[in-house]
This record gives sequence, C-alpha cells and structure tokens, in this order.
Amino acid sequence: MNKPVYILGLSCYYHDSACVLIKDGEIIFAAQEERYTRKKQDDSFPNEAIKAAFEYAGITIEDISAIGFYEKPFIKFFDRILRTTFKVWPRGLMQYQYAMQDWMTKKLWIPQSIRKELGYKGDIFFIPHHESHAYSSFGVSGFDDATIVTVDGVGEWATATIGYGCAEVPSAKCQVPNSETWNLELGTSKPVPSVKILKEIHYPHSLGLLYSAITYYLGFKVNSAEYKVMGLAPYGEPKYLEKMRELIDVKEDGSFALNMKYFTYEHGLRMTGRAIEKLLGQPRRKPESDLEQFHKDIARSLQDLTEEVMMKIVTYAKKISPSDNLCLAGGVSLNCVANGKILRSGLFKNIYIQPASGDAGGALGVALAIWYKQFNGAKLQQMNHSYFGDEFSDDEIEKCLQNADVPFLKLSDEGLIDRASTLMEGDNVIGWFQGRMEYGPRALGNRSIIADARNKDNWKKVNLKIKFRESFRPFAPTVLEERIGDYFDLDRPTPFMLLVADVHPDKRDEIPAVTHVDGSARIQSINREQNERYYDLIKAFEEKTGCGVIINTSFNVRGEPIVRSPEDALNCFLNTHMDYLVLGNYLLTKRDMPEDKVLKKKDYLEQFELD
Amino acid sequence: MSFIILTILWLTLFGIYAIIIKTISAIKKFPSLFGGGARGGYNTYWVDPLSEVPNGMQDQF
Ligand SMILES: [Fe+2]
Repeated sequence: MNKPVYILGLSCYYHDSACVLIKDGEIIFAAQEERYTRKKQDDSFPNEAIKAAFEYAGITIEDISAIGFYEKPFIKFFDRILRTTFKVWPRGLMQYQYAMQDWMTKKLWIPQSIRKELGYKGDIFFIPHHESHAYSSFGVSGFDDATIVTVDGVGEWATATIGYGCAEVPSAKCQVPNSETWNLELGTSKPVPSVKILKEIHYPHSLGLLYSAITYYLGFKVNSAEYKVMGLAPYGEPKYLEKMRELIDVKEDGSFALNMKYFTYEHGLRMTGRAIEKLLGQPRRKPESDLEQFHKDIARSLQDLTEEVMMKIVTYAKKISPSDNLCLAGGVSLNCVANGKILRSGLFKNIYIQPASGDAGGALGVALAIWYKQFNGAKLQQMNHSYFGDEFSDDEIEKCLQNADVPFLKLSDEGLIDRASTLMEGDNVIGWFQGRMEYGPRALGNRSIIADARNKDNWKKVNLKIKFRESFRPFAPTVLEERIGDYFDLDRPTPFMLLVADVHPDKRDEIPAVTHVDGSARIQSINREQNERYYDLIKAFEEKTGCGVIINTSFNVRGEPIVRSPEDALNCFLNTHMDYLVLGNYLLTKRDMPEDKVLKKKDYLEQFELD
Repeated sequence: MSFIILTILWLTLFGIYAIIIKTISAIKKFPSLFGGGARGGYNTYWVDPLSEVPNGMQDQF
C-alpha cells in the first residue's frame, strides 16, 4: 500500500498564523494559532495548531511529505524592506529598529525554525505571497478555469494581482484565452489546477493599506478592525469621496498609485500623519471616543472608493484573463460589500471566495500549490464548508462541566434541537458550541452565538451585554439555503458570510435584528450537508415560527479570539449576559449557575486587548 | 541585536548606501527605483510579475 502524502502549509510571523494539513489532496485539518493561545491574530509559529492537526490526523512529523511557507521571505526582506529603508532614510529609524529585531531573530530563519520547532528533516517549499492567495481560492474553487484577483495589504512586493487559473487535461496546453503571451505545460495525464500571475501592483501602493490607514485614522485597530469600518459605512454619506481621490490615482484599468505624502507607513510606526488630517479636516479620532457623523461619512467614502477600485480591477481582469468564473482572495476580499457589488454586476457567472481569504488562508494556498505543482495532485472538489478545526466529544464536554462544577442537562439529539429552537424564540441569547471549529475569521454555526432575528432588541442586547462591543455593529443572518430568495436579493448560496445583499423590503420588518441600516445583510446560507445539526436547529425554529433566519455572531467577546474548547465557551458564557449555553448535547441555563461563578466580567474582559 | 548597534549601522552602513542610491536615482531621474509615485504620468500602474525561476519553490527568493 502506498504511503499517503501529507502536506503541511504554514503562515506565520505577520498576523493570523495558521496551519493546514492535507492528505492526498484532501483537507484534513485547518486552524489559526490564535484559537489556542487566546491571543487575537497571534503571529507566532503555529506550534499549538500543528500539534492539534497531528493529533487529529493520528500522525507524527515523520509522516509529513512536505512543508510549505506562504511567502518568499528573502524577497520581502532583501528586496522590499531594505530598499524601502534606503529610500526613506534618514527617516524611519524606529521602524527599522523593530523590523531588524524581528527579521534577524525570526523571519530570516524560517526553514531553521520549522526544523527546530517540529524536528522536521524533509523538503520545505516557498511560494510568493499572492500566489498562495491565488491557490487558496482557485485550488479549492472546483472551477476548471477562472479569472483570479488577489488584493491585500502587501506580500513581498505585490499588493494586488490579476491571474489566471485552469485545470485541464494536460495533453493540451493551458493558456489564457485570447492571449499568446504564455503557456502552462501541465505534462501529466489528469487535470491539475495551475495558477499564473499576469499583472501586479507593487508596494507602497496598496488598496489594503489604504483601507487600513483610514481604519487607523478612524481610531480603530489596524489589521483587525477593518470590518468595523465596513459596518460603519452605511450610517454615513460619501461626502469625502472627492477629497479621497487626492489620496489615490486610479486608472481605468483598475491600477492605482497612492499619493504617499498622505501616508507614513513606509517610515513610521503610524499609518497616517498630519497631511491626511489637514486634507480631511479633522484630527485622527481617539480610540474609544465618540463616533461622530464625520467618521461615518469618512467610512462611507472609503467604502465607496474601495468598491469602485475593486470593480475596475475585476473588469480589467476579465479582459486580460477571461473566464465565467472569478476567484477572489487576499484580505480585501473579506470586504463582503464589495464582493456583493461584483456579484451583482453580472460580470462573472460564478464567484468563489474561500472563507480564510486573509493571510491565514496562505497556509492553505501553499499546501495546495505543493500538492498541485510538486505532486501533480488531482483537483480538489469545491470547499463549501469551513469546519476543519478541533472537535470535542460529549465525554470531554461532560468532564469539563464536572470539573467546573456547574449544573447541566444532557439531552438527546432530537430533544436538543427541539429545546434549543424553542428557547431561541424571543429574547434569549444562546451560545452554540458543536462539532469541528471553523477555519477563517467567521463563526459559521459551530462556535456561534445565536438569537432570534425577529427581535430588534437582540441587536442591542448581543452587542452591549454579551459581546461588549460598539452598538453600531451589525449582525449577520444565517438562512436556510432553500429560503435565501424569500428573504434576500440573492440567487445563490453563500456559505461563508462573504456576500452582502439587500433584504427584500417587505421582509425587513420581519428580521430587523439582521437588517443593517441601509437594508442590507451579510448573509450565511446553510444546507444540511454542510452542517446537519445547525441546519436542523434553524429548520426546527422555522417550523415553530415560520422564520428561516436567525442571528449568527462569533462566540467571543470583543478582542477575544473565537472560542475553541468547551472551557473557553463556558468561561465566555459565565462572564457575559448570555442566557443559555449548548455544548454538544449539554444545555446550561444561566439562572441555574452558582452565583460565585457568574459575571466576574471585568477580570475576564481585561484579558483581551480591545480591537 | 542591541538598539545601539542597530543605530550605529543605521548611521553608517545604511546611511552611506542610502546616500549612494539616492544620488544615483537623482542622476538617472529614475524615481520608480523605489516603486514610483502617484500621478507620475503613467497610463497604468500594473507591472509584470518577476519571471518564475524553474524549480524555484525550494528557494526563499
Ligand atoms: Fe496577504
């Protein structure tokens, strides 16, 4: 019997470390390190996630055939970082100090770290950052060909790319339609996906960094709170759009250059300085201070600008690498409002965005690139769920509850669905912990906080009393896949909460807790194959209430990584105003909890740095 | 590496090299050496990617 091929993909040392394990081309395990270390967007070497992956697969490091790192560190350091240091000199001393410490001690020693941390002796591969993004989407899209667009902060040099992906029977050549500029010789007897990057935009010009810079200007945390700006935008008007055009020169083909006099990230530890404050007319907002209409208008203007640039990029991408299918990746493709706009434009018949499309997804991208390029591996089927992390048996959960000495009730499978769906009616908020943890930044029904979307007060309750976060933040709905069209202006499944569409006007009053101020919603659809228990819960809720939509938000408080284990979930439950907790088949009721165990929230919240 | 050693390197090695590079750039009038600037009269800001090195996946560059 042939030994299986295990490939380990890694991303780390920037933000959002992750590991992905694939076995003979099948994703076995994928998780971010933050879930284990409980440090949001932890960038350290993903030791804990790797340990969990090996444990899950029942293997050791000896079984690993190849390890991949999601970018080319030497290009990044010796080309971009040193060159930028020379360019900005004599400014940038502090940034240089931090960068050198980091690079000299960690980032220039990646193969050595991998071998030392894991005791690994085999092959280590590196692919460019944006190629990792491209493979992370096209490689699991299930498409035979696709236009690929990746947009993020920065990789080595590239901040945005256009590429072409194809998976054809390789007797013929695989090439970009209408182009003779390059060919991909696949040279095997089965369809093997392959990616070719055709065009790039280089640092310091970056749509992702522009978004982050304005996030910073608005007083939010960079590389973390960009989605807050997206959520804030519908409260504002695009009054500053024209002024923002001073920040960026956008060509008709979607290429762009930033006006660097307004940005300080090349040489400073801050993203923006005085120049942008002068241009936009107000100083940077102090974190946690009141949000004024000005800040909402800035957010809206930035969002409109981003959508405009993304539309131009995908239009040009379709022209130079035509396909009916579009694969998006990179941090900017987590901007689900822009994604929804691209979908509605009708430029592409199909759009695929992988759930971990930020840098955590780089681990998946490099693992797939090795599988396809080094092993000529067969094409994977479309990835249509993200449940690739840890899971806990009922025995493990019961042990945790007994150790914590809290009262609980064990229910049958049917009893659990019936009880939970009944409890959800009205104003109860439930922590829902089931099965394997999600890969990527979204909780999609296994590490979720759920509530009745028909009750508008739940919006406020979950934001302020459970998540302890800003009141403007919207909630996303999960909808039964077969009922998407009944509620939303959307004609296809969206399993990863990465598309925004309008709620039908006549349904907005029915599900006010998930309808944003502009009438839109960031939708997750679910079918029974993706997640049987979560689907059954919503189906039972629908049977009782007629409503096939619920609130789904991640199981954590502000600044905390999404819960991983029953212990994490129990802690979060006890320290917030959550009413019920469902862990596997176990039900916990807040009012039955011993008084000395609940709501020591100050200590609990202080563990997590606000984002 | 200590703050002081890095600062000395910054002032000497980096400083000299930065001045040389900046001078060459100024003489050649070649601002795009460092990635160019906005509104530089370009028709497009898209550039071709670096050509792929055969079997380059094992390299860090
Ligand atoms: Fe990235």
